[in-house]
Amino acid sequence: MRNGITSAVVATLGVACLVIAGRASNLPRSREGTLIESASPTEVMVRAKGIGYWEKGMSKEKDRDKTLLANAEQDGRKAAVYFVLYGGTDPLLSGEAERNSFAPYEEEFFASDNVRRFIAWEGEEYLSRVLKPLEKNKRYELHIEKAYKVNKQLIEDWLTSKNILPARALVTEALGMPFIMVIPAVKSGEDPIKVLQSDPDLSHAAKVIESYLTALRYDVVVPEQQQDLSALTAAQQSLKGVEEDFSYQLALSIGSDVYITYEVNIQSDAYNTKKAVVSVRAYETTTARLLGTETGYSPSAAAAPMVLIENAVNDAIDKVLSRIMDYWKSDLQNGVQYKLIVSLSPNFNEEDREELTFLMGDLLKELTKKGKYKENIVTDATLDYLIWCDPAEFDKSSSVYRWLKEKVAEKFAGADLKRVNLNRKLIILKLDPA
Amino acid sequence: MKTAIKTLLLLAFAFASASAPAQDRYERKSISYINALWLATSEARSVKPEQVGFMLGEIKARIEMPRFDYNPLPEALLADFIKAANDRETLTMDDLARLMEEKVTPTITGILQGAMRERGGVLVSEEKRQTFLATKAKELGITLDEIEKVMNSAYIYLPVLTGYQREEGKQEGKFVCTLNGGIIWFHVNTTGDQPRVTLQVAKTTLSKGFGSDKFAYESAVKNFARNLEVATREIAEFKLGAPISEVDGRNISFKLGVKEGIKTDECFLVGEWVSDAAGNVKFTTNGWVRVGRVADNRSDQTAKSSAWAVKGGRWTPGMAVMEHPRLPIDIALKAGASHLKITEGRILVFAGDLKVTEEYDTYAPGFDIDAQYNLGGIAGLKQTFFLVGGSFAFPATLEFELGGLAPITATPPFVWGLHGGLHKKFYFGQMALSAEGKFGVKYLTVKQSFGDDLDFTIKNNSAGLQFGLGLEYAATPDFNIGLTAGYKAYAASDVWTIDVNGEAQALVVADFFPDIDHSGPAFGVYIHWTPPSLPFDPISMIRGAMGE
Repeated sequence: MRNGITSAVVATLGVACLVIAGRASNLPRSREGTLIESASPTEVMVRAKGIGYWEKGMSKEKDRDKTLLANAEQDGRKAAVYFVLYGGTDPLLSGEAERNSFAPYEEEFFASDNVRRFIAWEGEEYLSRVLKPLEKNKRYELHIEKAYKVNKQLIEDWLTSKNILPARALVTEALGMPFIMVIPAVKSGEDPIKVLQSDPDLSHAAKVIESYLTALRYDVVVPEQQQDLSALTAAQQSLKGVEEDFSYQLALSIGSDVYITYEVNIQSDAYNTKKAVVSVRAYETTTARLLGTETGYSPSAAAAPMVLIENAVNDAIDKVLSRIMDYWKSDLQNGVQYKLIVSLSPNFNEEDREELTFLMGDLLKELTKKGKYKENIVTDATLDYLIWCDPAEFDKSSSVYRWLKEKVAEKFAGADLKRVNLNRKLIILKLDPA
Repeated sequence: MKTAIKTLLLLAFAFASASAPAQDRYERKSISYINALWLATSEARSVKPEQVGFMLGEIKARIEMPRFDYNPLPEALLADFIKAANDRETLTMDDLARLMEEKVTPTITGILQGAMRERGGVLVSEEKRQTFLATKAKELGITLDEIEKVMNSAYIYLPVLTGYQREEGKQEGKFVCTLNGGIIWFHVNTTGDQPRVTLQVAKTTLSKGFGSDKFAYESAVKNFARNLEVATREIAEFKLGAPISEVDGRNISFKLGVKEGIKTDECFLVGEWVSDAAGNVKFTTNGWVRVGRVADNRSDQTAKSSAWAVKGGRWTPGMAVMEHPRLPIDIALKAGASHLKITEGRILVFAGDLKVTEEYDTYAPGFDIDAQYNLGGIAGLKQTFFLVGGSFAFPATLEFELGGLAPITATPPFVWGLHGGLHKKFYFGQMALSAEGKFGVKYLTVKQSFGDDLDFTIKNNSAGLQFGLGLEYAATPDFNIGLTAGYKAYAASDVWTIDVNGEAQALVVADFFPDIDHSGPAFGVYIHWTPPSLPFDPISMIRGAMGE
């Protein structure tokens, strides 16, 4: 009796395994796609290939072509969505961890009904259509190509709902959205604000970038007024090599997390058409470190330059933004970042200077999250650091200043820490004799 | 020179046959017309100026089809070009191309640039209409891709005549005119710094006309132009094609219509691209359709025409339809037998007689040949034809005796006739039921020939109606084969006439003549063939024979 029941269970399990193994995967057969353009902040237009498959027994012979076409069209939609997830230079699942998190959900995600939700528009016409007989009268493939508009935002929302991508709320709760400054790239020594005000193409490009960023709820500033950089000049000796980089100085003085510079070129092409080429670079403000760069191209067309510029900007900015967010998310691990510059009064003697330098180091170990800080420059006159603080305690630069002031007063009676300039990103202090 | 021109034309034709593959979707081309006829041989140069003008007018009317945009060239420019061509002692295709580059292409380039917006807008694909340029910026979406297509889709055509013969017919005042020639197409390539004109293809045809001197020439020209129209539609670059948008049972729809000039009943092949094991991709057809309803897509680019399947297949959207250009004329050849009754009697012939010694009341074998003109393109009537034709029957078992000079000069009696009528087909799949009604005349005839001096004909004249039903099978887009059975209703006739040397002489009345009755059943087998060209127009031939 027991043997009979065991055999039955084993047989059932065996059949179940066979059934599971025999069921086709929901993943696309074709994984081919190319980006046509970033249509808007939330949608991308993709050209994707779908491969339909039919073999004898799947359906009646007379329904072979209908089955092939239906399969190919489903596969095309899946391939388009697959491209957004995995393909191109800036896929949604950019890291190994994210891909591994997504793996258990792949079958559920690529179910035909689910994938349809992310297709905003599907072309009626086929860009190509070729029938491939694998085995005459027995097995066939149908290869089609179509254009699709994929709603990238909806896919991102789905991924965050499954905790595959960190929820924006999680990222922004602690740090807020990155504050971005947008400024045209200029030659060394040139004033970008003057250039921005005098060149309508650059001005238009700035507005387009601003519009794109605000649609995605970033905080954006396009500086149109001359900023007071006097506070920076006191600390200028530590900003070696950047005396002439107004963009960097502006970003620091405004207090943006990231600053974007861009260049616009309108080139003439055949038959009186024009093509816009826009290069976009994103930098981390505190370090002027390049986070990402991309060049966008408009098609050659006899359209107004403003139209071409916007087309080219859309092409570039989408890819750069994904790199900015990658940077922002990874920076979240370390805490909120500040650039701290402390100038030492010349009235301190050498010994006191040394003491104060060591004290600052000890205080920063205590202040920062996981003791994470970086010494950029340590001289007799200037201490230049990058610090990462716990946003729960030090979400504002003033809290950092207050804590440091109290600790300096506590630990070194002969020195008084005073504020020179504070903004969102930059803390300029000075140590004077008490 | 004649051989050289023919060789060049053949080479051009061969080049075209090997050049461009079929395209899924037709993209509009623009054409310019050199208003001059290249009289390429000394024989061709015997055509009179007013005849040249007539020919050019007919060709222009046929070739300038709705599927083309036009780049009209100023008369002064054309005159300059023609003068330059005529000033040369010899003229080759290459010479023509170089002259066109020099004289004509700057104007064509200017016209194309001016028409860019309108023509480029038509070429913008569905995918491009969804891009930023078209949606947010509300532009037409015309980019360099579309502009280059417009600038590189210009063609120039030049009619050429290589042969012209005018011969007197057997009847006085009748002529036979034979024309040989065609059209040479040149492609204007504007990529690069300088526009280039290259020979694309030449299409040639033969055409004959019969009748008076003027009518013979004009009917030959009209047939010539009609043949060239079909030949032009067969050129790969000009052939209409489109992907199938919808499939509903045996009906399909696609985005072609009035703008491209498609007509009811025109044939389109249906197929798809198929890849072989080696990765080569070939267009494979698996059926054909005929246009049922023509959409007006002149303002609405999404309007679709519909077509019904003759030979259907497992069709799905995305497969392609490709034009199969043919004349709107079917040639029907029927072999069979029809009832004939000849009573006993005596037929007078020249210096003799023919005695019918035994009543003939049976089926006489014979054949019919009809030209069926499809009314679909003219009246929008599906599979409805106006037909004209002739018949021949031979009462092989007729018992008769010949007396006097008849045995050495007279033919046995035979029946010939002319008819006209309507023919209608009703398709169900590849099979079709047909019904036709004809009105005709039949002549039981005895002919005598006395060397070259005298032709004597006596014939019984009979008029009547004929009805027939047929069951046929559409074996290919151009061939149907079928069976027919019908009934002829001809009144028994005792009207006899005599012709001498082709001229009617007298009406003969006599009691001893046999009664001729063509009424009765008729049956046979037939084929219908839709040709790409005909050496003459059948209706024009009949009109020419009847006095025009």
